[in-house]
Amino acid sequence: MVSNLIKLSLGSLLSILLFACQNVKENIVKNSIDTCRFSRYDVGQLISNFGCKNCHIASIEERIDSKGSITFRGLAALDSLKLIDYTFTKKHKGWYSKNGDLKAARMDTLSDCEIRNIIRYIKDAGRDIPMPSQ
Amino acid sequence: MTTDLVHAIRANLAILQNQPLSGGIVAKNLHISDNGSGELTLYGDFIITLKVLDLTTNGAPNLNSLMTFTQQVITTKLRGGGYKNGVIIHKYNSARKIFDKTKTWTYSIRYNFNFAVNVIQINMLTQIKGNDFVLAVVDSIGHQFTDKYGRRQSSGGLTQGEGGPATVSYNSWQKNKYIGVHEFFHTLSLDDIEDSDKKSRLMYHLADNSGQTISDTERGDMMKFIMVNINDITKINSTNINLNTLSRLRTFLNNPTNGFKFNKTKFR
Repeated sequence: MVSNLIKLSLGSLLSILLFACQNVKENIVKNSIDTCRFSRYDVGQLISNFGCKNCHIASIEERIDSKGSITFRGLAALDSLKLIDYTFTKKHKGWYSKNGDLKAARMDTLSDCEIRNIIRYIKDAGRDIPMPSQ
Repeated sequence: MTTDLVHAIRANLAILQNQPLSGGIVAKNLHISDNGSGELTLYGDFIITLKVLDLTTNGAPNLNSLMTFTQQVITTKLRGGGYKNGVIIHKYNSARKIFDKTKTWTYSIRYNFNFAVNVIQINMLTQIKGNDFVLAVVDSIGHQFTDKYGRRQSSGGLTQGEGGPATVSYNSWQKNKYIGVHEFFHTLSLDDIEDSDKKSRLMYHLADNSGQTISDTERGDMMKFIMVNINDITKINSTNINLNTLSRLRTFLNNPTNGFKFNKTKFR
């Protein structure tokens, strides 16, 4: 009888610990989502500082402009993973790195959140999301 | 790319035939100076035209006054030029006055532009060309958005992104005279602001806006949009690229998610 009571108590304790651990896990996930917020203005400032639109025209519907350069819409049509690889790894990082020509706007110091938001900003260019005001 | 090319050929033909250039941006007396230390200064006289299309059911009796106000504010906000650094373009050869397409260079660009702004009313769709800017005045806009604080907000104006057509609800425009300028500056590439410490900015788009300032960066971004292809600076005269304005306006107004109410018989 005593051993059964001990088993029951231990079982209950284990269950409580398991639930408690699960709740902590959920909180961590919620917190990590909340810290990376998308602000179109803030990302627009990054895009402006990098000068992305100097080469990739944003106002036209064509994916390639008359000079043969990929436009913002062309970039938006790329797969997100390809875009990350193209933008932040292979194509530009050298220019925007510590010793690059454009070191005033560093690309290799961007956080994962900033990179994700820049990708969303570019993808939004192909979604015709209207800009509202009150 | 094809429409862009056709538009460029048309613009060049118009110049050769001495015809007046048309479009949202017409540039004259373009020239450039190179200080030899990585800074180019661009000069030019620009005419910016915004065409206003009244699509309201019961008419807009104060439209002229709102248009005049909008014209004055746009002129004031564009005054003073702009500055952008870290611009990668073809290397400028100041002796030959051409951009060398075999070399790229990083420049700081100073925009020294003069602006004349026209905000004019049109009545027919045939008065809209592919490279025009347009502001359609509608009865109401049903589109709602969620701000960064998670609050649902209604829309008094709506623009289809950079270079795209803009709309404004007549009632909202009467309540806030600056909405027309705000929407047009979206067309000229500016984004909305929602930061509580930037309520005094023209592009702050929530109800507790308290001012109409434009930052130097924003002015530089608009200048960059206005002189989208810097190689055109060597052409003396130029006009802006084709934006497919009429087609985009039609699609934008008929998109049910935007919730526009307007007099469809006026859209002809």
